[in-house]
Order: sequence, then C-alpha cells, then structure tokens
Amino acid sequence: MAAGNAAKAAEPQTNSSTVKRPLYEGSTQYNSWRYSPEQLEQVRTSLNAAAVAVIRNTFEADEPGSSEDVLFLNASEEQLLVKLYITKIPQLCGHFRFPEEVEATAISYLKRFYLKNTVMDWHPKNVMLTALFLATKTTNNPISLESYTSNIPKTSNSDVLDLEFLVSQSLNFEFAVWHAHRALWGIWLDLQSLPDISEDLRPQDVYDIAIKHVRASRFTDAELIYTPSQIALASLALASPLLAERWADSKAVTSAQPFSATLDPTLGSIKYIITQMGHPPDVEAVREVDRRLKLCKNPEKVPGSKAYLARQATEQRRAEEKRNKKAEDVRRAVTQGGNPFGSELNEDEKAKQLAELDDDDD
Amino acid sequence: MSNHANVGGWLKGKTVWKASIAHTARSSIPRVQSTSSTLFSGGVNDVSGRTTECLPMHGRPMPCSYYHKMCESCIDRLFTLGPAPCPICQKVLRKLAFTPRLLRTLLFNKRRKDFFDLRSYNDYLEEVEDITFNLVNDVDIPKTEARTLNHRHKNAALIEHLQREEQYAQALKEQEDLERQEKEQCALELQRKQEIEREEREMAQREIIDCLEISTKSTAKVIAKSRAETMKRPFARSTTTALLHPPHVPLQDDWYAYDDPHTVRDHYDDMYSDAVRKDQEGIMRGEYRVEEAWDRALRCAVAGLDLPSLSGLNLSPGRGDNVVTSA
Repeated sequence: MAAGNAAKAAEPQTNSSTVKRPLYEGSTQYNSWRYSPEQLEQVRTSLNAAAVAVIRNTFEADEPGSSEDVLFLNASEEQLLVKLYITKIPQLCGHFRFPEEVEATAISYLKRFYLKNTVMDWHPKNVMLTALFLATKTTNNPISLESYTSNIPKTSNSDVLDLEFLVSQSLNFEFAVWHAHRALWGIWLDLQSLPDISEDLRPQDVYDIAIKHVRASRFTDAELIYTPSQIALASLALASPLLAERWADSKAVTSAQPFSATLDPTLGSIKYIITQMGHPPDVEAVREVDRRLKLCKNPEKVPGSKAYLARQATEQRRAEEKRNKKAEDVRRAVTQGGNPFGSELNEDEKAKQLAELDDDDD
Repeated sequence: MSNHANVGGWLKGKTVWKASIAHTARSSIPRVQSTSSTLFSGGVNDVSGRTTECLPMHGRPMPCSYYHKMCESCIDRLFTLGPAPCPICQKVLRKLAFTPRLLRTLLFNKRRKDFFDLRSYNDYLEEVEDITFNLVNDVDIPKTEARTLNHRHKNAALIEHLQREEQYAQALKEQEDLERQEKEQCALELQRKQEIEREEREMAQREIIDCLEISTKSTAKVIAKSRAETMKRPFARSTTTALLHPPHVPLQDDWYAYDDPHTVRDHYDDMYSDAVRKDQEGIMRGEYRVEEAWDRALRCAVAGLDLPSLSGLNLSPGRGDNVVTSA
C-alpha cells in the first residue's frame, strides 16, 4: 500500500501541461495570515508603539502633562491579556455546546484581531464575545443573538454587535480558517490505511492525548507560523512518536528522503511551542495587567469621556457639512435651471456631473 | 359662462369644507401643476379657470390641454359620443385630451404629514389656492410668480427628493411586473408539459392493458416493450433517463486538491461519525455522506505538510499589515 501511495504521489496527474498549485496555497490563511516568529514580534511591538503614541497624544490633548506618569502596556503584556481571553473561549463553547470548529475559529479570530489592533483601544472581553458570535456564523453553526447574550451574564446585544464590523474589518473579511484538529482527524483515519499498524498499536488514548496537544497549541502562536497539518503531526508525535514517523514516511515523495527527516526541525519547534507555551497564563499576572489597563485605556474609545465626545463632535460636524453642501448643490441646481428637471445636458456636462456625483449615503 | 364670483365662491368657500381639506388639496394639485408648467411655457394661453357644469366638483378634476378643469364624470358625459367643444373655450376636443395628472412631480406637493397641525396645513393650502387663483385669473402675475419662486427655493430639496422617490417607485413597479409576468409564463409552460406527460403516461398504460387483454405474448415481454417506449419519449422523467445523459464531467481547474497521497477507504473506525453511521433511518438527510467528511479530513491532513515556515523579517509583498488605529 505504501508503495502504491508513493507512486501515485510522485507527480499530480494533470491533463494540462501546467503544474497545479496546492489548494492550501490559495487560501487566505496561507496568503495573509502567515508570519515568521520574528515578524510576529515586530508587528506586535510596532503596533504597540504606535498605539502608545496615539493614546499619549490624546491624553495630552485632554490635559497636558497627564500622560507622564501613565505606564502603558508593552507588547508582551498585551499578549498575556489576550491569552487569558483565549482560554475563556473553550469554557464558553462548552457552556453553549458549540462544536470544536467554532471554538478553533473564534480563537483564530481573536488572535488575528490583536495583530491589527491594540488591547488599549479595545478590551479583549467584548472582542472575545464578538469573535465567538462571528465564528458561530461563519462556521454555519449560528445561534440567535438573543440566546447568545441571555446566556452570558452582564452582556447586552450592543456589546456584541458594536464590535462586529470592526472585528470583521480587522480580519480583512477573511473568515475561512483551516484547523489543526481536522488535520489530526485525517491523520488518525489515514493511519488505519497503513498496513503495518495493527489496531492495538493505535489505541484511542493516543488520539486523545494528541487532540489535547492540538487544543493547547491554540493558546500559542503556532497557527500563525505553521500549517495545520504540521501542527497536527507534531501533536501526534508528542503522543506517539512511532505512529507519527510511520505515517509521515508513508506520505513521502518517492525520490526524496523519508518525510520524517525533512519535517523534523519543523515538528521540533512546534513541539517546543506547544509544551512550553500551551498553558493558560498565570491569573495573578493577568490581573495586574488588567489593573494597569484601566489607567492607560484610550479615552477616545470610552463612551462618555471628554476625548470620546470631542471625537464624536468632530465626526458629526463633518457629516453635517457634507449634508449642507449637498443640499446647497441641489438648491442651486433647481433654481438656476430654467426647468425643474434640469436642462438638457450635453455630453461634457453629463460627464462632469457624473464625476462629481457623491454616492455615499450620509 | 361662469363668472369670477362663482370661482371665488368656490375658493373662498373652502374653509367650510375643513374636513375634506385633504381631498380638496389633492384635487387642486393637478390643476396647480398645470399652472406651474404654464409658468415655464411662457405665459398662459387660454386658461380661464372657469368651470361651468362642473360646479361644484363631481369628482376628480382632469385638466385638458388648455388647462380647463373638469371633473372626470363631466368629461365622460360630454365626450363619450366623440369630439365635442370644450364648454369653456369652445375648442373641439377629444376625451383623450384630458389627462389626469397623476405624477405629483412639480410644485406644491407637500402632504398632510409634512405639516404639524391642521391649521398650518390649511394655511399652506390657502396659499396654494391663492396663488393658483391669481395665476389663473391674471391677477397680479409678477408678485404671484415671485411667491411661487420663493416657495420653490425653500423646498427645493424636498421636491427633488419626492421626484426621485417617484421615479424609483415607478421603476421598481415596472421591474416587479416584468418579473411576475415571466414567472407566470414559466409556470404555465411547466403545467402544460406536466399535463402532456400525464396524458401520455395514461395512454401508455391503457395500451398495455389492452395489449395484455388481447395479445398472446407473455406479460413480461409486453411490459418490457412498453418500458422501452417510455424511454424513447422525450418527456419521460424517470430515473432511466439518467443513463441517457452524458457522464458528469467534474470541474477541471488548476488546483491540486491533495487527492493523491491517500485512498479513501470504505470504512473507518471513527469515533466521530459513529452516530451518523448507525443512523439507518437516514435522519441525516440531505446528502450528508460520511465519506465526504473523511475525504476532506484526509486532504487537510496533508495540506501544506511540506510547506516551510517563514523566517526573518522580509514581509511578503501585497500583505496588508495596516494597523487599524482609528474607528
């Protein structure tokens, strides 16, 4: 069987002359949400620095000199807070009995959101609820907003809905996520095709341990660096190195070395990540961070604060100006023309008017 | 002919009809439109505004091309037998010349709800009437025109908005009508086809029965023959037609879907799908096949297995790493 597989896997059979691209490489997960560890670090620190600068300015605009003694969060503290809320998602899913796909998707959304936004602007609590709600929808396991918010204490509908567009936008509307748990399931099924693995060599507990590792990997950055199948294989390797090796070998392309050798470094790093960072964060440390967050929150986002109201005022003024301008234009058109429907436009005027058309709805 | 007093009486007497102000307003609108359009067509030709037999109004006024107003019933009465002289200006007209101005596209089309209370609405209507009266009777034309213009300025935006609404509503209606017609046609076609097929089937059955009665061949042969004939018929929609169609060609594209490295077995020892597989009754209806789920899992297992991870800081081009600091 292994030889047969290998022969078939030699080169994808194509009728055309072009080489086909693997499907995963067409996915958004591969194209936009893949980072190296160094890139992750850089993205987070630059995001944090930019946010601190902006918030500092807002503080200064409010009362000059107030931002001197405010201790802003740094990138690793932000990450700690996000991690805590990531660990809350499985608890919520258990409460609602959502399938594992919802849980995994929501966690991915939360992670990706905080690669584009900072904790000081948006507190993870509501973002987490919104991400979970969004995940139920995008994975085709929807529940009504009513039943969602009524089952979570101290949550209103607007808490979830207000952030929905922001979260979607931060995800760049790329909602499809490939998950490691499905890959693990696939490996597990495929193991049954291997001729030399008898049933007692793959007891059910091996799978259980492996899936636990997959769940732990969700608390880490693994999915932002590695592909889901790699994470799955690494989890299996942690549970049973023998099985992992056998399976990987069976997938090898004919001429190359046994697969397991080439994959080893990758698997090694993943294993390290899972074991070292796959635990929930220390609650005390997080509480400390949360306390400091209250002080350095961006006042523009806090409804009711001076900066927030000022921001709202400027937005409204801008909208008002636009409206007035529009009304003025219409008035002019109606009174100047000899005809209430406007005079006969020649081609140039038509083109000009089309160009000036303001199509937005405000 | 009627005189000014009568017309004035009609106009001034409107305060008595407070309850039907709305109705009067609507009835006045078509006429008002005509006057405002005369504003733009450079003067008033034959408008005298005098309505003879038509006082008081019997029904909906419809102006003719010379802007004489008459209610619908009077128009019917006068013009049903053919062209007749208009009672006001004696010009010979046909019934066609009277068009109900339904489109309230022009001036003076504020509605009851645009006003806070009945009083201000009535005031507005009075103003409208006054202007109309003045225009129609050549009283103080320049001042009235100024008033009109003034009024229009104030409501330019509203007018335009209403215009647009009308157009949009019209377009929508037309579209809906078209769609409805198409649907009806399709339904009719389908019905016809079904009927034909039913008839043919019945005929075939009758033939079989007749054959069985009178023929000496074996029943099996007869039935087989009839079935062969069924297949030949164009409308036959049985499962046998599937064999006649060309085999389904799967989608061909440039993506490699990881179908090589594995073969999907018929049966897996799988804890997740136990419930589904035990389901003999087919509760999981709707074409859910466990095999497809297995297939997908297997593909996921190998997808990207050999992809090296990124390292270093060179960001790949075309990746939107925009920081969302606003909103």
